[in-house]
Amino acid sequence: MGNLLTQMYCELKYTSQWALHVLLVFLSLMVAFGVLSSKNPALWQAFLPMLLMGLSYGMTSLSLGHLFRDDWEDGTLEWLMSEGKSLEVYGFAKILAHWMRLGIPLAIIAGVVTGFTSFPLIFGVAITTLTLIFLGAIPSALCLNTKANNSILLPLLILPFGIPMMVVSMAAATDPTVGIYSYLALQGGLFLMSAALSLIACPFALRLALR
Amino acid sequence: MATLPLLKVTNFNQSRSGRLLFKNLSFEVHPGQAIVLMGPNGSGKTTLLRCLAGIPDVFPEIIKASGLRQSYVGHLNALKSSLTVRQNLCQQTKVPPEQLTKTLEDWGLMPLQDREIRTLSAGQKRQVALTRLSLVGAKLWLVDEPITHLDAAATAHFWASLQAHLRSEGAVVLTSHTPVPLSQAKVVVLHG
Repeated sequence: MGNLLTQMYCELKYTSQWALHVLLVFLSLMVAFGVLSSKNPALWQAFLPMLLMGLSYGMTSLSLGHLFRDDWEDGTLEWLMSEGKSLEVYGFAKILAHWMRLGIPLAIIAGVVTGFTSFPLIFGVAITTLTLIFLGAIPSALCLNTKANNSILLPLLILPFGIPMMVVSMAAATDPTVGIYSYLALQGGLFLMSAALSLIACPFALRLALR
Repeated sequence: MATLPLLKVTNFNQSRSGRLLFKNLSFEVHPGQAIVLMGPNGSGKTTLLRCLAGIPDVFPEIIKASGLRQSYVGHLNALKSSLTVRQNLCQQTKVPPEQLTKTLEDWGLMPLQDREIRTLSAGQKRQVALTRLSLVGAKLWLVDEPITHLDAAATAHFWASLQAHLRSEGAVVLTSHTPVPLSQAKVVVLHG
């Protein structure tokens, strides 16, 4: 537990530059859409959930290349292995720190944009980004050793897994016919499944990258 | 009485991309001993050193003494470019600030302690990475081409600290392309 918190603290304290860039892009796109639809508030209301979820997916998947890349390139990952540190704890800490830098600010922006009136939407952004980061951590680790452009490859790789999560989150925010708890249960289930899979597969993928 | 080895390699084979690097490699590393891995480029020196460090797997042919603490400095320095020298070493070694200050003084790195790694030269970065070796108090040092980029003074200091480490019953396995000034070193030549 101590190792996990230390790793997360270091991550959050020292390497957050790129997250700021991603959040600025997100914010500017939201402002641009707001300005463009200012003459038609109904359009804004109708498209807001879709826009928030779509942009959250885009920003999260584009940021996944940063998850392990820096540690792999500067030799930190290799050094951690030589020190006998747990890759499970390392992977978990990186994922949580990544979400705290990106997912939580995105959810807060979603809250601000909606005036904190739509809990399912804010929660949907938060849990969808976390699920996507857990899922994306596996291909992100696997792609470390490739020369491919990960900023294009990673969003494509997680797209088939991200779509169900986005559909459920969108439905939770916009569909009044089914009780919200059904959607929350579905979102929670998908999240737990991705977290369990990632915590098992991620250390293996990191070892493969170091071969 | 013969001392127990810190590290024992028995009949170790390794290949890379289908090419055999070395076969039936066997050697032992005892306290106070230095092993120098030599050989042409691509002969498997770095691969062997990584295997000894347990990267990416632990091999059954490589047996280490129980509770052995090792410290590894590879080709890459494992330093965070946005952190200062002091922050990097503090984060990685968790040593008290006084000990860190003393080691930085020994290495002549005090003037650089508050500079970010990105602002240092390749040789200065290498010195910071090598400082980590003496900070963690590991019995076994595993170092890949330690004196690359170092100037004459830093090179001399590294060999002096390595001699001190060997005198205190430590051991080292290092790779080098040039002969090393260690009289007691055992050379393992890899032919690739």
